[in-house]
Amino acid sequence: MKLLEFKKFIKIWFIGLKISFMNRMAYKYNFFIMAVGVLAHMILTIIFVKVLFNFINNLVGWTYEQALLVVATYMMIEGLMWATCACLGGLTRNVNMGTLDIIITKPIDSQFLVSVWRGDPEDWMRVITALFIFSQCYKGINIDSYLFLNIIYYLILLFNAYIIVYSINLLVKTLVFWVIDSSALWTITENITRVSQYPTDIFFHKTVRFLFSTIIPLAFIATVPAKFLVKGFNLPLFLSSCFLAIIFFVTSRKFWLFGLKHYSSASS
Amino acid sequence: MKKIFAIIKMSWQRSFVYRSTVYGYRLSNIFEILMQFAIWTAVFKNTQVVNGYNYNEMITYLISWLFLFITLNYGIEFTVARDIQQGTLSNYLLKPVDYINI
Repeated sequence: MKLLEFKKFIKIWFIGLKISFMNRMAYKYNFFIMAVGVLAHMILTIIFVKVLFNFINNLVGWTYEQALLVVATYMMIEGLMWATCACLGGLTRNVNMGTLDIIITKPIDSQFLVSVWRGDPEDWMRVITALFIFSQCYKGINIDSYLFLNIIYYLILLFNAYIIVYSINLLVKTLVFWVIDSSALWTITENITRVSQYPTDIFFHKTVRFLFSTIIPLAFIATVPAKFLVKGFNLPLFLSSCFLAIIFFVTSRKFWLFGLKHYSSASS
Repeated sequence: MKKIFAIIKMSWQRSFVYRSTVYGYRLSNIFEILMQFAIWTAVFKNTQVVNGYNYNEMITYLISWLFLFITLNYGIEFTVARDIQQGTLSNYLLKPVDYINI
C-alpha cells in the first residue's frame, strides 16, 4: 500500500514536471533566453571566484578548486529546487491568485501538490553547469581509498541540503497566508540561501557562525557536503546534517498545516 | 515636477499597503550586505590590496553599490514584461507622462 502511494506521488511529480516543460515550450524563444540567462548568471559566479583567486592563494583555507566545489554544490541544490518545485512558486502564486482552493480540495496531500505545482525546466542549466564544474575541479577532491564512500556520503548530504533548503522555503513562504503579497518572501529566501554559495567559514564572528550552523543551517547546504569531498568523512557533521534535515522538515510541515488552518479562500 | 511628486507619493502609499513586504525587503538586504562584507573581509585576510584597492576603499565601494542597488533595483523589467503580456501597456502610453517614470 505504502509503495503504491509512493509510486503515485512520483508519478504526479513527473506529470507536474512534464506540464511545466510544455508550458515553457509554448514560448520557445522565451525558454531559450531564460536558459541563456541562467547560464550567464552561473558563468558570472565562476568568473567572480576566479577573479578573487587572482589575488589570493586560498579563501579561509579553501583552494580555488575546493571553493568551486562549494559553488557547484550550491548551484546543484539551487538548480534542483527551481527545476523540481520552482522554489514553491506554486504556493505563493495560488494564494495570490485565489486558486489554492483547487489544490487543497484534491484527494492528495496539499503540501506535496503545492510543491510540485510548478517546475522551471530552464534551471536544469544550473545542474548541468554544476556537473561541468565538478568535472573540472577534480584536483580539489581528496582522492583516497575511501573516495567512492565519500561520494555516497556527499550524495546523502546533498539530499539533506535539498530538504533543508526546501524547508526554509516552506517556512518562509507559508507566511503568505498572513501577508498575502509574496514578493518580499521570494527575496528573503533567495538572499538567505545565497549566503551559502561561498564557504561559510568566511564568517569569522562566532555568533554568525553559530546562527548559520543551527538556527539557519546554511553551512549544511553547500560547505559541509563539499567538505566531505575535500577532507573526507566526518561523523559529527554527517549526523548533524541528517538531524537538521529531519528537524527542519518536520517543523516546516507543522508550520504549513498551521498556516493552512488560517487560510481564508477567495470565495469564503 | 508636481506630477512627478504626486506619482512618487502614490507609489509610496501603494508600497505601504503591505507593510510586511517593505520590512521583508529590508531584512533580505541585511543578508545580501552580510554576505558581501564577509567575503571581502575573508579576501583581505590574505592580501592587503586587491587590484589597487585596500580594504577600506573596497568597503566604501560596496556600501555605495548596495545603496544604489537597494534604491534603484525596483524590477522595471518585470513590470514592463507584465504590462506587455497582459495588454495593459497601452493604458499607460495614452497618458501624458513618461511610462518609465510612472
